[in-house]
Amino acid sequence: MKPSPKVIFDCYLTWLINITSALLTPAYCAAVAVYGVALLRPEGWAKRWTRPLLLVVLTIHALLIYAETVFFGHCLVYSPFELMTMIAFTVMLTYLIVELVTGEKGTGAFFLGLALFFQILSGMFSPDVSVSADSPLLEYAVGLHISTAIFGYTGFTMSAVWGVLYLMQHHEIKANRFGLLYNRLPSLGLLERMSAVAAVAGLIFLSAAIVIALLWLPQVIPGFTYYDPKVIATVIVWILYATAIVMKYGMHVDQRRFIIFSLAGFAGLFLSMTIVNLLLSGFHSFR
Amino acid sequence: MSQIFAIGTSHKHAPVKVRERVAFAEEELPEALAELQESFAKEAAILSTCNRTELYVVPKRSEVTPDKLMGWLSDNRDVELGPNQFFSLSAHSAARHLMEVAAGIDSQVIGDIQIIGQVKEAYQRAKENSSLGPMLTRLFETALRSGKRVKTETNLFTGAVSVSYVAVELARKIFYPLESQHALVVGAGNTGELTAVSLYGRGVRGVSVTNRTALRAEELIGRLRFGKLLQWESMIEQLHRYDIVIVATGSRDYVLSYEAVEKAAAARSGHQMLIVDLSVPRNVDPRVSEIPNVFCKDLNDLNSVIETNVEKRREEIPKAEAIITKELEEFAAWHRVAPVRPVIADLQQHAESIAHEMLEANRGRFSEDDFKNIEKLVGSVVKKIIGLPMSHLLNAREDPETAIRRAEHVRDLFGLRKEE
Repeated sequence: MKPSPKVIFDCYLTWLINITSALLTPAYCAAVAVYGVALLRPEGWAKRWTRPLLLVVLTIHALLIYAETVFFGHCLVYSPFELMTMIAFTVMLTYLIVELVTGEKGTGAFFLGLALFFQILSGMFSPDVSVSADSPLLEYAVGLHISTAIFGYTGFTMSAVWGVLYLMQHHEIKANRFGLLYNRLPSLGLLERMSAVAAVAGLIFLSAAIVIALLWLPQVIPGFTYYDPKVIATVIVWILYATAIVMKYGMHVDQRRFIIFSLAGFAGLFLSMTIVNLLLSGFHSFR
Repeated sequence: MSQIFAIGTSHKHAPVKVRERVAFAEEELPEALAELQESFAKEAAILSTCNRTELYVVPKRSEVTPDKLMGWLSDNRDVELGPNQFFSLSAHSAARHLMEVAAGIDSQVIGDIQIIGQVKEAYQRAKENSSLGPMLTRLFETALRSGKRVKTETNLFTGAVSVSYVAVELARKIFYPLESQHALVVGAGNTGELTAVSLYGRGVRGVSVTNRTALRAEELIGRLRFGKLLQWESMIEQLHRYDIVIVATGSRDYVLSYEAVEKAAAARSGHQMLIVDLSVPRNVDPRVSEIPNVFCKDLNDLNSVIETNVEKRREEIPKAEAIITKELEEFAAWHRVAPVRPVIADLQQHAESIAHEMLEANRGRFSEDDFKNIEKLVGSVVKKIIGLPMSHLLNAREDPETAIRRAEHVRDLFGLRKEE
């Protein structure tokens, strides 16, 4: 009997998922390695391969996301596996845009390293998520809530990377260590500015995610509670970032203090993404 | 075979008081090149910078020796050079020397970026004065290419190696954008001037100068043609307005105290401040570096950067040498063929012109298509006929005397015009 077009299509999708899944992590590793070599030897061969490789990784990842979205029948925002891989993808995509706009490649190895970390973390969770057709998770408001939250988290993640690089560069200059990092990293002023802009963007998106959650989700999610550990953790993250941003733009605290506050916010975000999600979450159980 | 001589003096051989007497001003070069050509040189070029004066000469006759050229240089510049105050190189050593100079290996500060431009300048001056021939043209082009390759393929030119440049690089690693920062230069001496120029060169337009004697600060601003005067008495009061403060005075005491900088930092609402103390003894209280948001660096700190950068550049020398060796090999291969190249060119031209003449004389006897075929056939025959004497000439390139002898034979046999 001749297989139906849907079966054939599913076969192709499975094949695409298998191929791209197999290629993705090695491609991430290769990109991190090439960006790393380019950081160490800016005049060497690696520099001209950085962007093409980044585009290859993004293409593979985009294909995988497309294939899994079609295969599972929902956007990849419902499980830790999906969230982590989406964050890795958005970090890479945002970094590519920043690289194209600023021409600054000195921080690429760190961003790609972080994206690889999220991608590896994603691989530690099961990709098998079944969402029933009547699940509230398929509501438009929930999708919007999760999408804005992902963009918010990406903003905070990028802010944190620039923040860590700021502290490294600050330490190098204060300690008179004018070596490789000092030479390769951008200026403190630029790192702080990029970190602040990313944090502001992250806060705007997270605020939108929280507003959507408060206004619409009680109506569509059964068992919604404001005392859910994930909700509390997210609000704490929001408060930490909001405080850091008010301190910077309202109280004009120095760059370093802003960065430290901002990193405290990221620590909270990381805890909410891992421990709270895995161990304490109530209705945020992704089913 | 044409010989190449490189003679002259540099920072390795003579002190600055001798070098400055030997150096040629730009306007003196045409006359000097003409004199060299008239008396000694088939080809000549002069590289004259603050650190070196070097003559590159392809001699007219075998009697022209490096000693005679050195004698001419001494007479021309009216300076007596001691036996160890000059160098004299010939053939491949001379070629290698120019390549090392262009690659910045021979510079006082390894990887001096200016030297490539200076070699190019010497090449262009010689070209303008028609004192170059194929040998020096090829040598200078090879040297310039080596310099560019060393610049792009190694890190020999990277990292700041002067205090003023390091200070500005440090500012660039702290502030963004550097161009919009305000800088104050305290002290109107040479170091302050160099740093002000470096800052301006990096795009910092808000440069102010202050000095205990206002007149000297005004004179410096006049020389710089940029910058504003800040009265010495207002310096402490106005300190908070400056992001970058370069202190380079001859004072024996602290010009900037801990308290003054602390007060200025407090007034800056958390904005960072860089204070670079280039004075000996130090003019800024070292405790200043403990103040939050203030980066304070002194000469010791900057010298450590310079030493690190110089060391890194030294580590790149073997890579640069490898590039030079490769370029030198190519130059040597070209040089070996040089005596026979004009004969080969003449032979080719001679054979082709005979073939062309014969073909044109008989063009009317053949159809268009046949003529094209015959043209091809004749071309192949000509190549075959001159192929043997050409390879005979090229095979002799390892032995210059044989090559010259064979070149003469070929000229006689084929009735080619004699080389001038």
